[in-house]
Amino acid sequence: MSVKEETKRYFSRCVQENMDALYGVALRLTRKNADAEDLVAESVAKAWSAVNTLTDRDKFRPWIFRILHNCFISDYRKKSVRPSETVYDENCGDEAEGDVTSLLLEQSDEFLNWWAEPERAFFNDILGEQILSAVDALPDEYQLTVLLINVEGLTYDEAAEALGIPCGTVRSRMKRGRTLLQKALWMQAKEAGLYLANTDDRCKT
Amino acid sequence: MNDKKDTDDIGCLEAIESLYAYLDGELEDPVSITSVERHLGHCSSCFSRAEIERKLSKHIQDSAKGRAPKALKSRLTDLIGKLD
Repeated sequence: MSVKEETKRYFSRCVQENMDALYGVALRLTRKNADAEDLVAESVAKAWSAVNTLTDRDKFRPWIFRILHNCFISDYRKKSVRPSETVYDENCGDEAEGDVTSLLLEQSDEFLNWWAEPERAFFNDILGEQILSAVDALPDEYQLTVLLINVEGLTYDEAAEALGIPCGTVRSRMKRGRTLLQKALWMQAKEAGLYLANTDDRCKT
Repeated sequence: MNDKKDTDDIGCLEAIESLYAYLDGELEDPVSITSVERHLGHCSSCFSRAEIERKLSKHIQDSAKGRAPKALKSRLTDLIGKLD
């Protein structure tokens, strides 16, 4: 078997193994099935044309997610009507850590008390759709970081490679992204009547 | 939140600072891991927060996991077949 044939076989196997993951991330980014399929197909085509740049074959996942991310930024986000700018200040690197901790600590007692009581079976009341809607509402940078690590199981180092950012920024994006998710779910719970200030009056349905 | 219980306890602030890295398996230093676990062992507030974070992660994973449609699988198979 020639080197080219072997490379193609390797590439094909890796794409097959990561097809669901690529589509899942593409769907959350584009929100449309057809756009997600196009984004994945375009990313795979670009990945093949750049396959010689993949020097460490153990790093296929972060490498192809980086290509997908770049394709999304260059081709799809421009067309999208959704806001793409980061709403929250994001200092690069570890210096952002203090801000993130502050964000956690600044949350009201009401929020923290509500959030810290797992016996309320909150997640039984919140539908998967509402969680997805909260994930979709995150700014792109936080959303993609949460998806790559939480859903696709990349390590912080792999996510840093995929996003082309320092590991410290990945860490702070994860913290801030999760905090924003918590807040969004809290707001949804309040709007849905799952949380009331007087817990005795909480809706049980 | 609890104040420090003893001299070995890292306290809530430090535990929260390390919590996400701990839950994501990114805390490599055994001493740091032990410190977080010891704190979670006696601080009900931080333990509850950790449990909620675990559940939230699981729910996000279950909700956002994608499954490529058959049409995309066929499209990629064709595409790779034609790559040169």
